[in-house]
Amino acid sequence: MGFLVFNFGPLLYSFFLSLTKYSIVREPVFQGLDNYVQIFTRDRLFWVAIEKTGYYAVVTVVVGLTCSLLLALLLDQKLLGTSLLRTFFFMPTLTPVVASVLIWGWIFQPDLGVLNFLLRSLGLPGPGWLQSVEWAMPALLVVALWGSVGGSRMVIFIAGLQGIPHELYEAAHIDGAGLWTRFRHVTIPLLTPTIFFNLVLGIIASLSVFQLAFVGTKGGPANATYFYVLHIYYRGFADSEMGYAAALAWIFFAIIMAFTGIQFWLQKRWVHYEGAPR
Amino acid sequence: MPARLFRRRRFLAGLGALGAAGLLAACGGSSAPAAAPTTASTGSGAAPPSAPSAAPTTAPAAGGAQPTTAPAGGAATAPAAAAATTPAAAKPATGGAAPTPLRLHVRLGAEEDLWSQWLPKWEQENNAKVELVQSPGGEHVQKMQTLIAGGQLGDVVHNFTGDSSFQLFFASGVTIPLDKFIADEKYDLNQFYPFTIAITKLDGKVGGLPFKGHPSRVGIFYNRTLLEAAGAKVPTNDSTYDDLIEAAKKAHKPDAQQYGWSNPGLDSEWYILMSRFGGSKDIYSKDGTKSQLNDPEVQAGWTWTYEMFNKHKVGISPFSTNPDINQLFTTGKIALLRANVGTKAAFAQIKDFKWGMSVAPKGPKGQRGSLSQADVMGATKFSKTPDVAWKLVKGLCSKEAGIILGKQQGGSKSATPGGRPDVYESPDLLNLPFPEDVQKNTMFAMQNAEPFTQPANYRGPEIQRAIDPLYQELILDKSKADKAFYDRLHQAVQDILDKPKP
Repeated sequence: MGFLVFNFGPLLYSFFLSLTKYSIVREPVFQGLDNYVQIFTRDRLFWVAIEKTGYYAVVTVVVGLTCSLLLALLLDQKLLGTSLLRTFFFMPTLTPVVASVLIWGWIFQPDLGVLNFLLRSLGLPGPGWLQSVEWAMPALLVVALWGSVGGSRMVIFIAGLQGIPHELYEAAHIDGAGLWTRFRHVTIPLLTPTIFFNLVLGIIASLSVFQLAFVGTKGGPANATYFYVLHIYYRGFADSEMGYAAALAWIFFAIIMAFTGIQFWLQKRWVHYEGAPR
Repeated sequence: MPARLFRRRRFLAGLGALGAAGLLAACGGSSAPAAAPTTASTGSGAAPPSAPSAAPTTAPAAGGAQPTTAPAGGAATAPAAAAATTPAAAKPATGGAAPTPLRLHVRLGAEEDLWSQWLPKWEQENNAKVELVQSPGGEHVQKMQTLIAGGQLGDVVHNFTGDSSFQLFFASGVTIPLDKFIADEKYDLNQFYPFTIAITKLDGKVGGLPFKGHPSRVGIFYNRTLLEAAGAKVPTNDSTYDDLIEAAKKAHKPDAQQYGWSNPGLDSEWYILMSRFGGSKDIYSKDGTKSQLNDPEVQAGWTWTYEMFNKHKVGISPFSTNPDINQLFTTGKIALLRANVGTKAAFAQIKDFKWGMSVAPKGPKGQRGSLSQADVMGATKFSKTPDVAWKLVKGLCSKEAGIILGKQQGGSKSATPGGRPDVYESPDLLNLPFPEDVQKNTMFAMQNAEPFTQPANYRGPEIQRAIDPLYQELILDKSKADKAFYDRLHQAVQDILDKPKP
């Protein structure tokens, strides 16, 4: 009942709004598919937002997943101080995004920031970072990866690694498998459900990026970090085009559903569930 | 076997009864004010708490209109027609009538002193209880929009001309015309600067009163210590734009983290001021339907700004957000900074160097290119006691409130005073301990502020976002200040001006 009233109801209503001209302060006026047509034919920023968000998602998912997995492999070892290191790597996740962007903003400040001070002391010219068209996106990626590589994704990987039966490694070792072969033929196949889980959530989270740009760059400079959710927000709340923003949100929903659907379809080919029939 | 005290059915029935009672209580909210403790002084003490809230809502109109009395139980159910009554004769609270509840939507922190120093007194004098609904500045308008969508907006709102929220709210009927109140009461609008009143009108109707007013980013803040050490001329109101270039050149020493010049970053008012640049033209045509960015006269200020950063190379990027350029000026790293005159409140803490503020030079056509701006207080259609809401609007835009605003300092407070001559010219503000001629020049700038302009379709924020990336390209030297750039800029603005109102 709660889902129907508080989730599904608003969801349906937002679809209705996407078919209207609705400025919030006036009543919605039905206009069919006009918003959708405008988005695909006349909204230049829609395509900019798609491009920037896609780029951000590819890098954060690929680099982020890889780094989280490597870190999990490292921290899964029974070494002195492992628990301390796990805590250390997990800590950035606990920092609110807004706070971390502000702190990184100081570090990235081109004229007075720590990073460029270090680069200059090495005789290297420091870029403009968040104020540079070329460097703003890499700078945001650094902030995003700093805050996510050691987070819950890594913890899930560690849990996945610890779920792999040790006997399999022993058997492989007896068969003469080296470190790389054991990783490739034991760890990776048995970890694929975990990778799949992290991949699905990672793609959804990275496509939904908002705070980083909203606080750090406002989508600039020159639209270099203009993400999709930022576009929805600006169109809805700054431009008072809530019907249009609802249409953007539904397109976004369709994109995410499509990606998730494709992943579920593809998983049959590469995800191995223990005990599942072959 | 003893009978069970609590059976499941009884328990469920009891739970249902409790729920129903809760629902009834929630639906009966309109009677709540009667029960609210009265804070007004009780002259006789004889009036029962359920007496009609006489003072705020029953004032007879000067023209003889019948009084609108709120029914027992408070003013919450008074019809919207109460707007016809005039508050002229409303008197301070007498008797034990419950205070009229009002909800006031304001920004969090920015006007803090007003709520502690002025509001309680107003409440007592008017037998009203004001609930402050505060939202962070960046989300204030969005919060109000959300409340409008849910029909939950309060009685009085603080909105803005610069982001078109005032125009949008008034044009769509969210805020109500105040002309009736003004006419009935013969309320004198001449107590405000004429241009601040002009801003609050749409189609000849007054949609609010100027809560605050300022001449925008016309201040040239200077670090006297730094300029004198560099052998540069300290700007005065008679300086020229060439003088600023020369001074900035002398003071600019980036290796020593010392910068000659900066100006506003992504800022719609700044875009208008760059377009004016002391000329007679504006970014928009007079009727707000055409971009004039294809006119060389309008482009001159943009080119001048471009050259400061990329030809003379004497500027530090205005896009620095952490620290921002105001913080950089405060720490003595910028010699000349063009900013809103109200920014002085943030500089009041400076102790390490001498600073001051002149007003922007006259441009090629002899004007300084300022921009009158106002924040507006308006009464909403949601108010059940619009006459009391009007009284609150008046109070918030009074001289007393305006001076308190102008004296604010520190934190996230804004020192922009009320948009009235008796506030700007008040000794209370002129004698504030700001250095050099800062206060005098602030008044001078306000007295000479040029008219406010806006897009006819109220799409100010959308136009700003269209300009933002192009302005960034210009300052970051990704585009030259040439015909191709101005063609793009002009077209980007015109495309939005061609859209209908939202």
